[in-house]
Amino acid sequence: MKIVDATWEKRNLGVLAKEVTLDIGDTVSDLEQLNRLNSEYTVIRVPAGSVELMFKLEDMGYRFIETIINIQHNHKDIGSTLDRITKRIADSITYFEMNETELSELWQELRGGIFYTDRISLDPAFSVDKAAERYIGWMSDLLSQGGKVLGCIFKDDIFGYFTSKIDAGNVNRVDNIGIYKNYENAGLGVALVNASIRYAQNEGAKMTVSSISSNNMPALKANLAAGYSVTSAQYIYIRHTSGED
Amino acid sequence: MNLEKYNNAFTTSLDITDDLLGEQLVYQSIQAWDSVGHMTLIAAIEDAFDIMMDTEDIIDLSSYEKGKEIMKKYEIEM
Repeated sequence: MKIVDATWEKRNLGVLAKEVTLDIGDTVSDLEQLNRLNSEYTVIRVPAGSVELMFKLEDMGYRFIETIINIQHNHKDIGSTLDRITKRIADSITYFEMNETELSELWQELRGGIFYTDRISLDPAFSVDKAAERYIGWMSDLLSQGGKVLGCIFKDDIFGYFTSKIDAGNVNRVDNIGIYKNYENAGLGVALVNASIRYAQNEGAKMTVSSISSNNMPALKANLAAGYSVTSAQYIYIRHTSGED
Repeated sequence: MNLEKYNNAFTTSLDITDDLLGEQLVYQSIQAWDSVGHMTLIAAIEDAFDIMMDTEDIIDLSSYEKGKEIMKKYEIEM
């Protein structure tokens, strides 16, 4: 079991938060440690299939909110999985690194509510607005740590963006991809994912990894259509407490 | 005849019944019409009418009714 003091959530969500990752070897008795956490918002990541741990967490007042599906693209035959229509769209899409002005416009898009399926947007204790501020905080941290935010252009207009962080082992991580409000009904999801993979390959990354929520099936389908494979999954449980419980 | 082909493209690619065809059928109004389903739908329309749609029209086709308007550009009347 790994327990992390999620200090960034105080800034993002205004709560004292802890993030706990359970291992396959963790037992029901190990979960007793969770009763001693000083936390207002606790997130538990449970390996898929760990039914005993799931039942115990439910007994302890934790609630299931989503499954996180981890995916990977090996950068081989990029585009070969695309259907002919997506390929035509993908061929006309370009990307660029966003500057301060374009990032400000992106923050406005996020505040307009382009995400509503993540666990913060869906949680009645939080909101879509809080989720937007969390994404902005998240991306600001990413930029300060050497990550990048790339805008995507179709017919001279920015329609979406993706993030990229390539580690020392040349593995690219995409933490966030989004489509602007004006283009959300345009079917550009698969082409956008394809652009993020092309970018990573051009930057020398050997593979790209990402994670998708089970509450966002269209995103999972788009990533699989762009050539990703599923590698693992984790159940996510949450609990809100006063901080002294 | 053209309307029948157009309707078939929707029902077969999105796996829906005829009663769902109409004004209420818009992008993401049903689970099957997401970004992946959209490309399947466009391919079905292109195949049905033997046309190649402009990329702008592909992203503009956000509803069943809007698609009918776009088809006029390709000289296909419903």
